[in-house]
Amino acid sequence: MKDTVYIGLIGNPSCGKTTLCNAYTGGNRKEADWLDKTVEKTESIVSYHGHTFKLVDLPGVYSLTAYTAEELISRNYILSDELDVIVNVVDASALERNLYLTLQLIELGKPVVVALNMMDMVEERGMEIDLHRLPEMLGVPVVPVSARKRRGLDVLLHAVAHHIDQLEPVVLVHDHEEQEENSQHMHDHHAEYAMVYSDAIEDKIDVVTDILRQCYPEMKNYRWHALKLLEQDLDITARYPVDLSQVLDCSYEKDIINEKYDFIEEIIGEVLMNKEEKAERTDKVDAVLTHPIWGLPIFLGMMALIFVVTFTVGDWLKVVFMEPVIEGCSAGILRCLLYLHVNEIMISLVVDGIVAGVGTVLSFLPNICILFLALALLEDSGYMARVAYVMDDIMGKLGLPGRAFIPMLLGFGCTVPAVMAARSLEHVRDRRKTILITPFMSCSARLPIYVIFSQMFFAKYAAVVAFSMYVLGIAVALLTAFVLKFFDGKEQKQRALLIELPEYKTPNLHSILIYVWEKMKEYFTRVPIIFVASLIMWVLLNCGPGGLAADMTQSFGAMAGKVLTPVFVPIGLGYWQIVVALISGIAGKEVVVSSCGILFGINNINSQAGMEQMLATLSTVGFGAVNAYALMTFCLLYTPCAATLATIRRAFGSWKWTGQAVLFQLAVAWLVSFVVYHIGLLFV
Amino acid sequence: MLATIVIGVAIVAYAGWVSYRKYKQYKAGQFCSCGCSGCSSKSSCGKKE
Repeated sequence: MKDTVYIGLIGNPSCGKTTLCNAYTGGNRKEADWLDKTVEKTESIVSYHGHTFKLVDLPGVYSLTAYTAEELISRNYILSDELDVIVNVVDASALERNLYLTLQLIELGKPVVVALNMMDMVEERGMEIDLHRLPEMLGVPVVPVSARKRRGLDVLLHAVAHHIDQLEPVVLVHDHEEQEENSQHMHDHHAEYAMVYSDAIEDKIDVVTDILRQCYPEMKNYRWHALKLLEQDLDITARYPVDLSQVLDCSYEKDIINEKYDFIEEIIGEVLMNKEEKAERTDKVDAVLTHPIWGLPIFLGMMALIFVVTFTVGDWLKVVFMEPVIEGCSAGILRCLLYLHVNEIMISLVVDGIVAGVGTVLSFLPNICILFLALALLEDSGYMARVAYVMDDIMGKLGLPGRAFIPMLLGFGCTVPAVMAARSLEHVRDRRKTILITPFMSCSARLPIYVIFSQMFFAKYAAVVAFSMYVLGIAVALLTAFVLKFFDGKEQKQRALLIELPEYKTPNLHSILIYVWEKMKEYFTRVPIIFVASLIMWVLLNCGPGGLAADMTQSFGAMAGKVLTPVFVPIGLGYWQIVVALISGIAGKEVVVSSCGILFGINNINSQAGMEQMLATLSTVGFGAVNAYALMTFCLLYTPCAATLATIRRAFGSWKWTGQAVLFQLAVAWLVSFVVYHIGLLFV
Repeated sequence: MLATIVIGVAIVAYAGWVSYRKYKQYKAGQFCSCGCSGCSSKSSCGKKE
């Protein structure tokens, strides 16, 4: 056996590949294939009985055609020489749908082991699968596993180790006496392959195979390549040009697909017992949650609930845990510095700059934790996939495919992976439009801004105000898409939304906790950036043309802010401190809040005392509730953080497009804030 | 005075190291900040369409 065995984990979206990978590695990646998050392959290493296995988690796909980026990535990797064994992760509770990919994988001619995942759900639903007959019909080993309950994992690796060099079917028992009697074939294909086509197609395969043998003597797996040529697969046709004018009068793709499904039906008939009627709990719940009229209000209601919990519980946690810790640390550091007789400028840099900046951002940890906990609960229960489905119609009317809402949903977490997810859209125009509007979705880094300003100015309505930011983000994104539709020119045909709607299930506590823990860790990993941003901010606000500035208004930061202030006056943000805070927000949106702390000289802006101090300071310069709402609106919509800009630049592949996107987002932010501010003034 | 210098140097050195590391990550096409270990941008998002 090789020192390292490369195992390709492949399966339909939501079949549990990532959970299986985590079960082996003890890792903590979150299964989120409904969002097609795994656009590229990821690798993990597992040791078993002294052997090393490299698990390569491939993007979730329904088939191995080459229409989408995920399919092409998976197919190219599977066909590469690097891979030793394919582990086809199959959702046993949805066997009929999953077997299509299985048949395609078997045809590739590489060793395949089927991991029949979610067997626990099959049992729960009272179904039974004939585990003796299924491998007989497929000709490959089938191992029942439950990734969630970590059952059958050793047996699966054992099967993999035993089938590394198994290129021929293990046991292939067909029951096709009638077909075989009538067949005019020169070969008995039923003894060789699991999937045998009708005589007409088999004859074509034989002819194409002969042609390929002559033209490409080194080629591996002639049968699969012949099938792809019969399907007129663009990739294979381009790679292996042959003259098939005598054989190929049309594409046989449809016939090949139909015959595969006929065989799947045959398999299901033989191996699946007590197949349930599908109109059960999931369908009943879906009738309400994906209702054409109520679906969207229900989604918005759920988001509102999340924000109420984020604010109330998060606030309680903050007061009880975070405030004492941060204040204690700040006081402790100050005492240490005084004890060491450190220069007072250095004390100001450390305490008023770095500790104030970093401490402010960390104080929002409970709110962020609750937000991600709630989102993870919705996702793990199977609800989030329905949101994209509910939005499909609306997106279609805006000239975008339903699939475009998936990156937008991802944007609630972080805009970087959201922009990347937009790359999987089929048409360049859809991709550009989606990348342009996705940053309008409110990412988690903007939450601290809402928490601070809504609590300061809207007190008991804080959660409602923060929630309104999320709704406003969605509304502006959709409205922008609608407006851009008129500049699209010729309307292009959109592909129907193909999305997995998993069964509703009780959220898995382990899975949710590791997801939230990951998010918390990520929040901590941003501390170095906040550190540097706070340091730069302190330097800019304490240094001026004449050296150290005794008065902040004479600093470089103030000078830069004052130059831009006139632009912000019409939107109620004509304060140089706010302008400087907004500029600093390009490093990361949460930096806006930490910068406010430094700019207004408040150590813990997120504490009750800090907020009161900040409110008093802002009130003296005439900054009120309407200004606060305009500020939140501008923060929601203006240029995203540097990491997102870099991602957009990569996705567009052009600085020109990126520059235009930045200008566009700034213009939208300014315009919407202007409207919000002036409407707000009417009520004050 | 010594403490001031030591702390100052430590702060500048740390900030420099953070900036350098971020720059290297950017050049390598890794700038994900979503926290998902499975996020594709962690390995590479430098592939142009």
